[in-house]
Amino acid sequence: MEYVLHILMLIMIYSVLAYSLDLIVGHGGLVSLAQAGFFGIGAYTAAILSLKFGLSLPTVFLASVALTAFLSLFVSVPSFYLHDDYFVVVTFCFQMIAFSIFNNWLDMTRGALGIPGIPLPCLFGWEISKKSEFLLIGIALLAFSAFCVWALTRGAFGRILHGVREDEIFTESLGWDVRAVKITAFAVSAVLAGMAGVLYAYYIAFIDPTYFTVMESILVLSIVIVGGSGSFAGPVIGASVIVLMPEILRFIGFSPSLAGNIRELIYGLLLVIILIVRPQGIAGKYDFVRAKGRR
Amino acid sequence: MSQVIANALVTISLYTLVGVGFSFVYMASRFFDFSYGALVTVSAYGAIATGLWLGAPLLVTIPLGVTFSCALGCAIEIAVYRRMRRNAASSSVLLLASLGLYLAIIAAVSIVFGSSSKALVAGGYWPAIEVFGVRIAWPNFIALVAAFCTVVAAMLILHRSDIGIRLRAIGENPELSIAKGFDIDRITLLAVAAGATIAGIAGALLALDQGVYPAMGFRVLLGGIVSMIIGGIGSILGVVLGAILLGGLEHAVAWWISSAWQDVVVFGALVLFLFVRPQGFFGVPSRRSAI
Repeated sequence: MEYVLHILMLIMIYSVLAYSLDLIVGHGGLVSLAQAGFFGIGAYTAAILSLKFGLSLPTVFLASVALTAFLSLFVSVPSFYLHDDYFVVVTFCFQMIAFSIFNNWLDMTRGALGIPGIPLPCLFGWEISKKSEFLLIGIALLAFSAFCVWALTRGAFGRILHGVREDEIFTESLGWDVRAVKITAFAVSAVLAGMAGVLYAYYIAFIDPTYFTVMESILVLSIVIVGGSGSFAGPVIGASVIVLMPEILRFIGFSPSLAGNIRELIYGLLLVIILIVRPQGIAGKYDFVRAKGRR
Repeated sequence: MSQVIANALVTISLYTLVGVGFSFVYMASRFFDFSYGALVTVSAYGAIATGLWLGAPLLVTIPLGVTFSCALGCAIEIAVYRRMRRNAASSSVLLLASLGLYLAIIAAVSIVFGSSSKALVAGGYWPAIEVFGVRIAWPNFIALVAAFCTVVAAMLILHRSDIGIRLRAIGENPELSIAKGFDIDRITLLAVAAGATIAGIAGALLALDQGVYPAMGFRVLLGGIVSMIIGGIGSILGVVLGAILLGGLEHAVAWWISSAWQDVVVFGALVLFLFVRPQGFFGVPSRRSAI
């Protein structure tokens, strides 16, 4: 039973990450490789603030929200000036810089040694210690993420966001404030990823830089595209598959590290195959390839 | 100090090699192909594999590894990118596919060979030669020579040979090239083959210098891409300039500040550079880098 709860928790966290990335990739059409960076920023915020200052969960969440929202400007502002693969390169640089800071700012993050012994989170005096309690918070966060995506993809905001995806210059020429939409979308995306990181840090109680590399970013991107971009079921489906796959492989008899590599192999190949054969993903609505075809 | 310069020269050579090879591929396909980094890695592991299974000496295993890289690069071009291009995939989508390919290839390498690092040659240090009072290990000297030769060859091919000129034409204006009757598929494949071979050579040199590990291709690919961006896409001399600036900056930061902050300085500088002059020193502005 504990095991099932653990799997569900991981699915929650990866689903939140997938929603956060799908907002800008699936709905905004802006490919970003920085998601693992924001995930890590949230995680390290939680670890450092709770270990060094003993802050409670709501305070840590607020701190993470503030920090990730601010840092998302380093990604959203470049999107005004650089497009397509140049923009991906910038998000990539952001990710590399974030990882380098996690790995090298020894005073704060203990570098490659990681931060062990993260204390249990405290929510208004209620100490969260059982897996089922963590799962409750996870479900709440997932619901919140889905709500954010729903709220931002309806109405005028949603139409401008989809306009950015389909034809940014045209949308701008109609007079819509594309920049404000981009700043908001990237900020929400970063905040959600950071919150997933906070939860992750508390749940695993140990973090180190290797959890937040470019590979993780690519993996989250794969989840979004394979699961289905621009929909509500897609990110959860993608997250479920990616969490369940190593577990199934382990049941068959592969060792955990081998299972991890096989998962990456399968997901890398799936990403390529999906992009060729079914670009909207398993359960998505946005056909990536045809919509952004060569102009 | 001169030793620092000598060390920097090795990095510069590798970045030049990867940058030039990547330029060939980029000129034809016009997107950032991250699977190129996997080609670097595959060459080194190919050499290891043939060494283990055939017991052959380096002079045999290294060319076999390079051939393997070339073959893999061509296979990817034919099986994946060509098909996606027929479906009118944009550069971001091709980039996504290249990321998936990189992930898959490196995972496959880790599965077969394990994640720990290996040495191409067992034991000991390389003999060093003394040049102007500075010691350079043999493989690094070869890297320097290889980089120089590749640059000269690339410039000759791109500016003097028929196929090189066609390649540049395709890069600048694909539609017009098709209208003129250029065989885009064939020229792209040749460019990919050339680039992949260079990647293989870089992989072998990197392996001789640092040993073999699954992530080895990534950092040097970044160096190559950054050199190409700084120098200006389509300009071989630009790649050299970019490699000198980048390698110099890296080693200067490592020397004067600390090697821990290398990446932050380098990538931060790249972001700033992309804001100020995204087309590079010798390049032309493109739609993707303009406002």
